[in-house]
Amino acid sequence: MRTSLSESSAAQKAVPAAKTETNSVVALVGSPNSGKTTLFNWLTGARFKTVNYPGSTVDYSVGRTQARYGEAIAVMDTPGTYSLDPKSPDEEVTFKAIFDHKEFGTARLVVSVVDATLLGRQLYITRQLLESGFRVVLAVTMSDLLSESGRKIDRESLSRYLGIPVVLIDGRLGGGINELVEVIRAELSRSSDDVREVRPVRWDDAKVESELKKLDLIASQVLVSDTPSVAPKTFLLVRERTKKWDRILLHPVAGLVIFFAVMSALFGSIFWLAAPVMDWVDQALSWLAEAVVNAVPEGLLAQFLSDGVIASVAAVAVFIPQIFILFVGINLLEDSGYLARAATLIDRPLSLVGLGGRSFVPILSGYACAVPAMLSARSINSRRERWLTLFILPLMSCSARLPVYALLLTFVFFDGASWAAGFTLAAIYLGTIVLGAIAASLAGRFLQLEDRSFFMLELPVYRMPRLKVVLRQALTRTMNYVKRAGPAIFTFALIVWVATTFPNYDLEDKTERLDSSYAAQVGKYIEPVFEPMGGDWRTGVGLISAFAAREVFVSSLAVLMQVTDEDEDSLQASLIEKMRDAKAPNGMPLFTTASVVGLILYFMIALQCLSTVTVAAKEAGSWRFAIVQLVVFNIVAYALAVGVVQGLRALGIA
Amino acid sequence: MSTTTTLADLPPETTKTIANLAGDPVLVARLRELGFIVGADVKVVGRAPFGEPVLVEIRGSTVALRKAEARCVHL
Repeated sequence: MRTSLSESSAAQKAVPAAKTETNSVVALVGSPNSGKTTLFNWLTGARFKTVNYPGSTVDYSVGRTQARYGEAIAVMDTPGTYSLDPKSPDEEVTFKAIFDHKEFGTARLVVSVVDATLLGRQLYITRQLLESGFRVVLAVTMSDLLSESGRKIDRESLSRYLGIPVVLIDGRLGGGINELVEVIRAELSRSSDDVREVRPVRWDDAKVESELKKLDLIASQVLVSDTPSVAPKTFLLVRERTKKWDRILLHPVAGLVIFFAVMSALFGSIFWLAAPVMDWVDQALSWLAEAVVNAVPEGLLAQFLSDGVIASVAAVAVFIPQIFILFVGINLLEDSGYLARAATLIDRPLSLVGLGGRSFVPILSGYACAVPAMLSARSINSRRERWLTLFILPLMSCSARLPVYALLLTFVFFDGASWAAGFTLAAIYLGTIVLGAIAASLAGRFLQLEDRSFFMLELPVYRMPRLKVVLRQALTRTMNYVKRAGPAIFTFALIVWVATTFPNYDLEDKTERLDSSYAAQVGKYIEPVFEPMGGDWRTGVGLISAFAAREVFVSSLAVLMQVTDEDEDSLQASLIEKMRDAKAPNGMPLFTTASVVGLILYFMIALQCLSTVTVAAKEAGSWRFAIVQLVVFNIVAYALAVGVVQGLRALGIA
Repeated sequence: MSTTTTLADLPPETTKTIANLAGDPVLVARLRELGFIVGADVKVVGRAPFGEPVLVEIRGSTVALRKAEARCVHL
């Protein structure tokens, strides 16, 4: 919990200060799935910034109301919470953000967002907000779901019962937003004499029960028939639809089959939809590099721009399509209501290795990139589960490993059938799930931290996701990822360029230049380390450069293997040819089935991403955690790679 | 201990009224926030594969609970 807010302060500085006498904001507060984020989107349009880091449910945004609603009001979205009694790091974020935000202080006004179909229960936090002394406006969302069942909310009565203004919002069409802004404005301009001191309430059990009972009664009284002559349905149609769907989607057999189908579709789209886009990005940047080389006089500057800067930008840019598609997928699942079911289905299996259903979204995100995955782990309420989830996330085969696997598998199956490579790739991905389970079980034994774990997840009603909101959120999250991980990847890529170019940068021959570079000097010095896993200094330099970003291994290897631009074939084909010809110091082939299998294993396990290390340190609240993680995964990866290479050789497989 | 059953033992599709909540205070507090209060009706509507979590209908919404959590709800 201590970690959640400390890092947000830097990000918040980027947010334009509200032009009010104080710097404070209007905060939107509500239960998960109350429609808060949709409301925020309607209010702010594109005028918002996500502060904190991207993640499935834990990012929160600060924005300004759209121009069409008149003078701008600063609005803050907060992570969903059931009460003002936080039980997980993301709920803690909401609690601190409204009571004592580092930059905005106490919220000027709170818009309590409640789902019309769950009025009785969700009004609970409204009551807590009121008793804490906040000025509160109630926004009732999803009121459109009541009318199909012949019901509506009697807002005058509700307003009278609670003593605050009530606005009904139609989340689909954005009805009621105009009115909400006017009500907020009126409330803000009210004289501040009656503003009480704001301070968190602590309710005992008896008070909680009596409040909830009272709210139930209020909810039943304000939920009225929308046409007096017709009796309303005794149930809500949307709930009935949801129950029907759940009978299939949560079915012990069918539910699991659908779960695997949905996940396969998501993974499939991450790889296959993103692949052509990644090629375009790659081609565009190669074209740009070429254009720079032609435009700038030959020399260090041209080298710096094309091989250094543009190649480093490319290292960041090629991931963007995959990450974006992953976020679109997760947002679609989340907004439709399925994500909560997926977490429910997988809770039991994950519990067996010390994780839980809430670890599911982080693990899923981990297959794109560990950085956003670690941030989304904040919604895990048990510190123990959260810690274990953070620990195993680097094992999930992130998208940076894909180009490496692609190269190495193409090498192994060069003459074989193409399905064999695809099959092996699938096996690698399934293998990482097994590795993650083993790692979680083992780490759990050493972990002294004990914390209660609970699941208790409310299953929202199924709704058609709004594509526009989904796409825009995915875009925001992707941009946040780029801002977050981009500079680190870019910097390390530049460092690797410097190390492989200097001191003899003016040598005409790229190979000689590299051969005498700092990187090569270091690589040759530590060559004995890589020998047992079937490598030489070039493999070593490639592996070291992969600390910039794993896929840099491929481009470094291309330079190290003297793949030249003049080659007619594609980069990969000529690289593979060079790999076949490469000789180890003892004259034997350098890349063999054994050594490549060793490399694949190494990449599956090793934690090579320094951005991940810094995020892990922050999220776990401990550098010791991050360093232990870094050391353990690299040593285990190395030891297993050496063991497998030597084992295969002993079996006669070179 | 009393002989009352808990939500964890409630057969599917049977509706019962909550008599008491007992157990870890944080679990109980969260259960209350989700609508599990004395006097409210609960019904088990299903179970996830592998037997857990239990799917419970409470005051119009569906909540997924682990067995350990359902055991805090006495009927």
